[in-house]
Formats: sequence, C-alpha cells, structure tokens
Amino acid sequence: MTDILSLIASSFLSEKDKEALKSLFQSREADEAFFRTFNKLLIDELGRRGKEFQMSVEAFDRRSLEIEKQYHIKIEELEKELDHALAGLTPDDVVKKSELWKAYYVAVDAARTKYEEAMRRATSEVIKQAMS
Amino acid sequence: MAFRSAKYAAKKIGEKAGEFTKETGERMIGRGAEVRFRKEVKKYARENGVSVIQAEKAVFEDRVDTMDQAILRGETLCEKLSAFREFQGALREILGRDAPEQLRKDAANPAVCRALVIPSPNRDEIKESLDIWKKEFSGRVPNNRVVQDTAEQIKLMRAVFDEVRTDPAFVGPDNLRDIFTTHPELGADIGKSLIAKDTLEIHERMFTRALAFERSREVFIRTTKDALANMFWRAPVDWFVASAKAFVPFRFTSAFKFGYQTMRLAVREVWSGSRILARGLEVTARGLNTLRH
Repeated sequence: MTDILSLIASSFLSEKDKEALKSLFQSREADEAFFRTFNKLLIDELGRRGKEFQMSVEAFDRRSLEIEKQYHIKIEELEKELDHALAGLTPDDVVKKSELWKAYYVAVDAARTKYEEAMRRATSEVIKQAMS
Repeated sequence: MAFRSAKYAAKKIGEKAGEFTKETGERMIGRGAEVRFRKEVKKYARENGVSVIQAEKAVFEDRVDTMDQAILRGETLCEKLSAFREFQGALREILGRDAPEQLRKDAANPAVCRALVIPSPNRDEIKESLDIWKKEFSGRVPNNRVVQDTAEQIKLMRAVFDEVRTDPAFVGPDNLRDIFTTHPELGADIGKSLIAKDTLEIHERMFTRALAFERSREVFIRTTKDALANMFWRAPVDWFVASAKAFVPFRFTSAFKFGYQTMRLAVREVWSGSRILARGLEVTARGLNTLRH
C-alpha cells in the first residue's frame, strides 16, 4: 500500500491527477480498474510531455536556424567587403593588407559574439516557455 | 708579479660573473634571443679571426637563412616559430630594443619604403600554402582567401630574404648599423617581412578561434536540447526506474509500452542523443523485457 502511495506521490503526474488517484486508491484499493486509470493517466501525461517536448525542440530549431542564417549573411557580407578591398592590392601591399585583415577579424569576432548572445537569449526563452 | 696575476685573474672572474648575471637577467625578461645572438657573434669572431662587426653580419645572415629554411620546411604557421624569435632578437641586438617596431613603422612610411615587385603566387605555391595549413591543423583548412594570402605573405618574406642575400647595398658593407642608416629602405623591406609574419600569426590565431567557435556552436545546440530533454523526461524516467525497482512493472504494461514509443520518438527529435533519453529508453526497454518473461 505504501508502495503504491509512494509511487503515486513520486509520479510525474499533475497534483490534481495524483489527488484523484489517491482517493481512488483509498476507496477501491489496488484493483484492475485502479491500475487501468493509473496507466491511462500516465499515458496521457507522457503524450502531453512528448508533444510539448517536440514543440520546444522545433521552436528552438526554428530560432537557432534563423540566428545561424543571420550570422552567415553577416559573414558573407564581411567576406565580400574584404574581397573587394583586397582586389586592388598586390602581395607587396603588406601594410594595407594587414590593416584590412585585422579589421575583418574584429568584425568576425563581433558577429560571433552577437550570434552567441542571440543563441543564449533564444535558449532561455524556449526553456522559459517550456517551463510555463 | 704573482700578486699582479692574481689581481688580473680576480678582475677577469669579476667581469665574467657580471656578464653572466647580466645575461641571466636579460634571459629572464625575454631577451634570450639577444643574448644568444651576442654570444654567437663573439664565438664567430673568435673562431674565424674576424671583427665583431663582420661577425654580426655573418650571424645575422645565418639568422635570415634559418628563417628562410623554416619557411621552406613549411613551418611558417608555427606561431612561436623559434627562427622568427631569433631573427627579431638579432635585429634588436644590432639596431636597438625598438628596432622591429621601428622597421614595421618604416614599412608603412612611403617616404622610406619602396615598392617590391612580387608576382602573385602560382598554383603550386598556393597548393604549398594549403598543405601548410593541413599539416598544422590536422587536415582542416581555412577559406581560400586566407590560403591565398598565406601564399602571398610567404612569397613576400622570401623575396625580402633573397634581397638581404643579394642586394649590393646589403652584400657590400660589413657594418649592419651603417647599412640600415644609409639604406633605410632595406630596413623597411625587413619591416614588411615582419608584418607579413604578424599577419600569418593573426590568420593562425583566428583560424584556431574559428574552429573553437564551430565546436562551441555544436556543443551549445546539443546542451540546449539535452536541457529540454531533461526538463521533460527526467521525471518519467526516474519514475519508471522506481516502479521497476519497488513494484511490479506488469501493472504498468501500457504505460511502459507507451513510454518506450514516446521516448523513441523524442530521441529522433534530439539528434545528438540526450543522456536522459538514452537512459529512459534503456529503462523502459528493460521493463518491457521483464514483462515478456
């Protein structure tokens, strides 16, 4: 009896379902109908979690894909600018090239920081939503 | 007479000790390359019966050759390339502590520097550059423009080193200080080779960082999905474990079956394979197995 009650208490069901199960158990003991109900409630909860999990993962995938896309657009933009600037230079223009490369790398670093911040924000939003 | 000899010997020992202390101090503050250059110059002068000035030039040329050979061996990308450290140390020892920095400035000064005619790297040279990256980064390579630039920078460095060996203004006189004073454009050329090496170091550092960024991106996505899997599945998994241990799982046949199917679907969502989902699958599968017996 304690085992069943503790299984109800430790289950992943909602408090409402747990209460309903407890009263059912107290009124009918552990008969077939009780276990049918227990199983049904567990299945419903597993189904709900499955759906919500899928939705959360899809939401995260959508957000992260969007962030990735923005990041790649930015990097392509920077590469185009760099190519354009490097195009008119010869191997001897080492000073100018060095400046261009430094500026490019600083901009790439900034794009990565922006990407990381956006990803952190997206993660916390998805997790917050999943918790609510 | 004996007293005078002893006094002379004591003085020499004192000088040696002072020199040793000075050199140890220099090594400790990162001037080991200068100390090594100075010692080699002395040794060269002693062994070849030439003046210190002549020895300086010979050892400097040797530093240039070592640097060139390191480039030929494809060691251009080693950020802490010792040949480069020794080369810069030689410059500092001959022209003063700030010489490398000054030469870099001269390379950017149109009043001092001159144009070097360096053709663009050919296909073989670009292939060599690609191989250098592959060797240094276990097969990983940066984008084409970095590979192309690496080939260009190497070409420039080698052109400058060739010039040091063949330019009459360099080859003729012995005194390196005089050479750089009367021909500041030669120093500016060396400054260009220093900037080329700096740029290669930046490429190397940034490619290392790019690889780390790629790894952290993957880890971040996997960790987030793991966190989501934990949020939704830890409680059911723990409960399945508890029910299998403390109670008869056959009472929950349908819940076990459904749990197994649901978690299998969830695993498909999380491509990285979350630990909690893997455990959930294992637990429910074990539970289902028990039911069959």
